[in-house]
Amino acid sequence: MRLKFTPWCRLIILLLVTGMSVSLAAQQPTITVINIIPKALGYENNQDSEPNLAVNPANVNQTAASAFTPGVGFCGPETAPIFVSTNGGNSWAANCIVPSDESGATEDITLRFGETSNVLYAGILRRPHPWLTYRMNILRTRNFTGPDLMSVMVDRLKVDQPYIQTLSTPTGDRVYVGNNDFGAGKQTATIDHSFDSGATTPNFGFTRIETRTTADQNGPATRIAVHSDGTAYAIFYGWRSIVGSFWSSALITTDVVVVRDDDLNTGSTRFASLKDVDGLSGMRVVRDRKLPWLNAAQPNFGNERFVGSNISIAVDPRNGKSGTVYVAWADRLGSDDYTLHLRRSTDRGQTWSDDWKTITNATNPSLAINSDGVLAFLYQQLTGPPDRPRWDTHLELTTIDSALTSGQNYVLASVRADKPDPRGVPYIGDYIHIMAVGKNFYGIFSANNTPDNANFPNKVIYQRNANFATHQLFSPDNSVEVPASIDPFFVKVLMP
Amino acid sequence: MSDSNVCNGLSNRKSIVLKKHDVLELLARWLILIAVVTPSVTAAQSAEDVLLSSLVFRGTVTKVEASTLQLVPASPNTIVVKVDLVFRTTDVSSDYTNREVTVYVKDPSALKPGDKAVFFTQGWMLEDGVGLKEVSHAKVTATGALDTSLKKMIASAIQQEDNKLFQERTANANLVVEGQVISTERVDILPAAGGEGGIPLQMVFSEHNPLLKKAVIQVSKAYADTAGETPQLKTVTVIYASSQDLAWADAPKFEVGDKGLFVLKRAQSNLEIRDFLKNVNGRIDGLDRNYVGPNPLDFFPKSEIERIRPLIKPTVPQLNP
Repeated sequence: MRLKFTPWCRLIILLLVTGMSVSLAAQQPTITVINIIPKALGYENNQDSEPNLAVNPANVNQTAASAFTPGVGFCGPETAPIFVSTNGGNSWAANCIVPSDESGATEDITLRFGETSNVLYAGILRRPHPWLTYRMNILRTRNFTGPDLMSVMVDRLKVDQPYIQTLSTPTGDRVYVGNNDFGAGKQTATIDHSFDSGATTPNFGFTRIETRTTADQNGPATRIAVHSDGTAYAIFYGWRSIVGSFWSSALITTDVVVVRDDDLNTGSTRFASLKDVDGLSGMRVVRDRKLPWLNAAQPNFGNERFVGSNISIAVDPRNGKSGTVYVAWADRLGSDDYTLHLRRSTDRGQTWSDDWKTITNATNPSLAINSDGVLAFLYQQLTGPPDRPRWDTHLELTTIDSALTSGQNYVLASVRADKPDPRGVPYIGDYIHIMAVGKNFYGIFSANNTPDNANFPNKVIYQRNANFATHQLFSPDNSVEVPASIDPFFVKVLMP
Repeated sequence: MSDSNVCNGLSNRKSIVLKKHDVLELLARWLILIAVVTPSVTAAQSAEDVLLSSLVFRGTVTKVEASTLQLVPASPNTIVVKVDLVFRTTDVSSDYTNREVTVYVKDPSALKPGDKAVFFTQGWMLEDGVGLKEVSHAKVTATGALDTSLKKMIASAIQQEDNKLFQERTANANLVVEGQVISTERVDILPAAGGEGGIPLQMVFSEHNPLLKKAVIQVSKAYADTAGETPQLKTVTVIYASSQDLAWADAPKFEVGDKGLFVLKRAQSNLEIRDFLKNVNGRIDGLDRNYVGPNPLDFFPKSEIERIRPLIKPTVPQLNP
């Protein structure tokens, strides 16, 4: 039978098809990727790796970012820059407000705004530090675009990899800083916390969150997720044994442990709400996993290293949903892989799903959930043939209320992983970050900054002078070509 | 960098602390000079202002309560200045001459449009525009000879400061030698209590672990100590951080064949090594015969020896040469 369509019928069909297309298009998020190196800093070619990001929940136009970008040359003596924006990340400036030493450098640094206070907090490894130890500072500023240095709230030695999180309550900001405290004996996973961090003289304490016997220490990374009802989760690697040497290669046997606090401000025992079958605090999501340790640039892994820092956690922010929590971590399943795993719990961390996602040869997982129940999973995967490796930065968006099937997968960047040559480690960083404010997501990652549209499937905006036709970077006055390097890239995901 | 800029001679020596010291005398001379040229100049500037500044320039105020920055709205403290001449910049990659920059000033009433002044500033904010933070300023009404003399004096002052820092470092060292690295090896941390010798003790697994190594230096020249004695040494062993991690990016690292001048302190008296060993309950065999040189000022490659050799002061006598 042959169908015949009248002109009116054709028009109706056309409108329906067009409407469906528009509707589908309307379901797509708007993704913007921006290289945050300012134009006037366009002469720099540092290895600006290990980025972090803060978006002010009270005013999303206010954003701050960090990376291993030294202030030498521009900043005043003994100061390092962060990057700041007051227009939602559309344009960025370097602001020299982080205390440092003559190097003008930051070591580890993470940032977060108080949710309602407009205060920007930072957890950093501070320079100068004694030759053979680490020095954690917890900082704040009430004016993140102002000229004054961030002030020091906590200054403690022997503490590594501070990773900050905040929660605002009616009584003010809470600040949590997950870290690896070598002053803690053999159970080093630690959370520093303050419930009055907006006060003139805030009070800080800390909690050791490991309860089991370790291989003399925990892994470097402790990450925290908080819910507005006061629930706080943390995830860390519970190291159980080590074979090999930190000199060349070691294989660590580790649990992946989640702890929970149901309301830190009212309990006397902190982060001890979640018990495992052994009666100890800390639910082991998985046990006896293998984790490689290779603290040098690995040509077979895109010049990145393996230092047990690739772990993330997110809680559903919706009212009544603080029992839904997602975790991601890296471990080794075979002989030479580095594999990401994504799992979830819907009973406040008591039981966990099998792997919902398993991604081989990838690193830097970061998770966030928005107010519509969409999970964002940001990670970086090594792809391509061995002689032309690439770092692909992926963003996967999945509605978590529906069946857990694969979500939409966006490649934010696909860049050479063997160029430029590494200048020490980390190459792209031991972590990246994504966060949600309302229904939208904001993230940051570091990658090769060669200006090539083919490298950025969702397009990219550069502030520094760049010629995308010739794939060249230029100095601020366009007079000198600047070699490609590693830059931080901000990503804004506006959800429909 | 423009020819008129006075490049900080320390630009490739990031860990040198800039202090005032001998610069005071030079700056006093400069202040006297410009005071003659322009009576409005006061002695508000000090050597410390120069050394605290990442950009020293002569400029003309074009607007007050104004800003060239997108992120920073105009305020009473922000003024716009056209850079006429750069005297000193630590940023060798950018030339701000003839650019308008925003300066965050301490006293909004001190300057008005048309005023010319020498500005001592620190970098504050970089975007499309440039924001600077005032350390101090001095109004000027004449240029020419002033420009030339100021440029020379700042350069000289900074060089003197550079030299002084190095001299302080050598004077406080236990040993200064020239030589060549003939071998390197890992430093094994052994159990402190003894009895289990030879088995490396578990150490901290941290991405910032220094990965300590020893370099054996074949000594070609040793410098005298404060007692006038010249150590008779064929080799010395230096413990150093070999890690490529960011935390150790500017610490001297050695490879076989490296030649240069080594400014060393006894490892046994280094509190940080002792604390480190205490923390890991370990020991390093032969620590009392080893040295350390962790600061960027503790090693100079052969190409720099001729320049710094005249600056070396006698070192503190050593107990265990």
